[in-house]
Amino acid sequence: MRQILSLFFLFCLTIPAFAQDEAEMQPITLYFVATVGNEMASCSQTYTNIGLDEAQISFNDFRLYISNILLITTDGDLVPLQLEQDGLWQVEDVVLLDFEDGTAGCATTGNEALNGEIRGMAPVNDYVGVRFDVGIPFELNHQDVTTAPSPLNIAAMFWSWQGGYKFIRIDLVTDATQNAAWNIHIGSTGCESPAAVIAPTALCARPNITTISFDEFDFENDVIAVDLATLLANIALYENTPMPPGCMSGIDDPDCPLIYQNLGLSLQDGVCPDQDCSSQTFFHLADREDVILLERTDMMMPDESMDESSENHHNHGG
Amino acid sequence: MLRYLVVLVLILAGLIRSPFLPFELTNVPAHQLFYAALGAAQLMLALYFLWQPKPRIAQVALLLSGSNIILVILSQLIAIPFTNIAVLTLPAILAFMADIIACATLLLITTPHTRLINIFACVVLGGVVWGLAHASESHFPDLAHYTTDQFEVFDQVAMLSATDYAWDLPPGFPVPYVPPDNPMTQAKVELGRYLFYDPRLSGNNTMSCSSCHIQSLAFTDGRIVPIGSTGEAHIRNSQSLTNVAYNATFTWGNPVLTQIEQQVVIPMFGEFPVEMGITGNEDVVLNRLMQDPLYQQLFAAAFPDEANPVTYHNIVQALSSFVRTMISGNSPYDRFVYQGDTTALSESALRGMNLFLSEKFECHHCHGGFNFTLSTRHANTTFPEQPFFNTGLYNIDGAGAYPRGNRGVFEITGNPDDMGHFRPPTLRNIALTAPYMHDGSIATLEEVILFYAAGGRNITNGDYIGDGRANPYKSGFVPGFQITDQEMQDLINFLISLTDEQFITDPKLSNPFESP
Repeated sequence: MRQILSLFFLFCLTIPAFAQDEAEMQPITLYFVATVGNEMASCSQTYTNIGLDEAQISFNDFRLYISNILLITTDGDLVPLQLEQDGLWQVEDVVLLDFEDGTAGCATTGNEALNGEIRGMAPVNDYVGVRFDVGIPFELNHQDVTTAPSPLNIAAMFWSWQGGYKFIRIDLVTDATQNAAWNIHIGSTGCESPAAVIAPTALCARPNITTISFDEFDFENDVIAVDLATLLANIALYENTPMPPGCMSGIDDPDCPLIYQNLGLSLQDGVCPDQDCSSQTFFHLADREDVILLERTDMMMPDESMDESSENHHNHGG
Repeated sequence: MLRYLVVLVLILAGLIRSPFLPFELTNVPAHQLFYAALGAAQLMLALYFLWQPKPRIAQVALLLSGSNIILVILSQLIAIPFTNIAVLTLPAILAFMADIIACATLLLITTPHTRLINIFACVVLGGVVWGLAHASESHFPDLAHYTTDQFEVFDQVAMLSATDYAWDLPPGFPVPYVPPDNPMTQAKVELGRYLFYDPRLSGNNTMSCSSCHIQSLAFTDGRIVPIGSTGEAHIRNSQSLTNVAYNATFTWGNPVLTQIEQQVVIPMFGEFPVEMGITGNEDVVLNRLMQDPLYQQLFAAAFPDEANPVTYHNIVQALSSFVRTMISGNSPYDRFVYQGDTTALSESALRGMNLFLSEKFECHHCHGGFNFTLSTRHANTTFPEQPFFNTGLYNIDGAGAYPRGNRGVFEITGNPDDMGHFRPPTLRNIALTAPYMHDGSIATLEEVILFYAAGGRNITNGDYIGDGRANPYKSGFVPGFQITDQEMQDLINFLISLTDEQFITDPKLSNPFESP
């Protein structure tokens, strides 16, 4: 009997050994929030005073891929965040941020699930900054969307083997009465292969991947805001756009230069000029407390908040 | 005295768990093997203990019962390995109580200074068994597959891998989603094939499923709208059954119908309009099938556990299983993309493909993916989407109205935003499935492309006057585009390259009454 018992004790002693390796790692979660100026971004809302011609907009899709997440130490070293492989939102070093909930206009191409988090592990250290790419690395970008692991299995986020995924998909409606589309689909271009359904073997001429860097990031209190109002601030959304409607990454698309500039990218080269993407206006930091406040305001009855300010408040359309 | 109590409860627990009782009465099926072993061990220990009440025997019995108590508690509190349903049946609770009594009594019998150690050992053993079961769960999918009349193990992965049906999928195609309560079997597919082609399934013996779903036309009927068994016209164009196993939703515009099983009953029993016309003839139709020795044999093979297998439930299950096998993936396009045949597509079709996938024509936004529709679901789908689009076919009142009774998802939801929203169908075999659109109102592929190039349809006479191009519910992906004659020809050649000759001549999908 004693032998059997001691065997059990031995077994128990070995259990902590499995966890030993990860003892020096710490869990890190980055929080994202989608906004339109000072309001939360939602499929079922209409937003006013957007862009150069103070357009009224709503959106039918709002999803983007983030990859290559790096944490910046006090010494300026870059440490990769090892993503939790959850079989759903995160695979290898790619995450899907999903800000459409499949309601209202988002019902046509979207789904219910939402994601505004990046979860991973990193060696214990004092991190002061964070850096990430908006896009999918070439090696993962040109595969079969049908058999790819989640979240790289979403047909609505895919062009073709040749072009790869839409890194950013924002489908705007700029005139509710006409259902006028103004779409932003950003992905790699200039990918050479014999046909659209064949993956390129050499890197694409224009990766169109921007790098967002926050050198001073408070991991306790900061939230990364993805802001449609600032992305579109200098763009005239009511102006008739030549086909296609909005910017679909085309090198000669007149709707693209300003969008690219606001992503920090050069339309001609598909990279940030001199590797400096700091002209981007899409992402900015927000305080977690403010965001929570924003979420609360958002849930309040529209009448209550209308009186306080007239500028930025929404109409509860459709 | 205590010794006999121990023996009694151990025999009780052992009997409940052992295979001497019907397994429906014992425990969750996936645990059956484990509990049968446990029960047999408990029975043996009880008898041994009755014969020779040695402390060593008591010790082992104590460990077994004690660790099982911990196992059951963990399973109920956290998760049950090998299944995801928590069933506490009366026999399971009885056996559990017997374990508690046995454990308590045995603790009394053993010497006081070993009690704590014994309890500790039970906790550790129970936890280790639970943990090992959890860790190994994914490696033994077969063990999780076990259904009885009483229990169903809703473990899709396990169900898919454990079915006897071998999908013969084209290269590049994912495994279809199959509802867990109707796993694929060869016998059901075979039965479904006969039913699909049998006019006896209609109220008046005149039409079968195949009357409106003809194989040579990729399972459409070539009509604007089909005519039912009693002569009533349907309001919607007969849909192709190409790759319906991958549909996210069924029929032209209904977000509620997410399984073939739900759709199949509509043509069978529908009254508005009457299609197969079974309603009112339920017993007549069922009797026809029961009388036929062929069907007696086919139903018995497909549903071997049932005494009276000729039921409408089973007819629906078999038809759905057969229809799921209508998989088309051997067109010139597939040979080019998935089978490495670089000569399969002409230069023109290749140019058409690049146009199709371009941001200029926007075709792929609704007809994207391997099945050429975003309305696609398969086993690798993690975010099921149910897209429906308004393409600007009508605008009767200038406010977006479609003809009454045929307004797409709006007919189901009543939500104004759903006006004229229809499911994008697959474009595979599209050259065979004219006329087009939900109401068959466009005759040719060229006219369809011109319709999209115009950004909708402007109707200037008749009942439905109105400019569909200005329909406020129209999709943003249908703004219209310029197209040259050459581009038109290229695009049509690409669409023709989606025609799968093997599919429309496949003997496995053909009429078994003509060529079994």
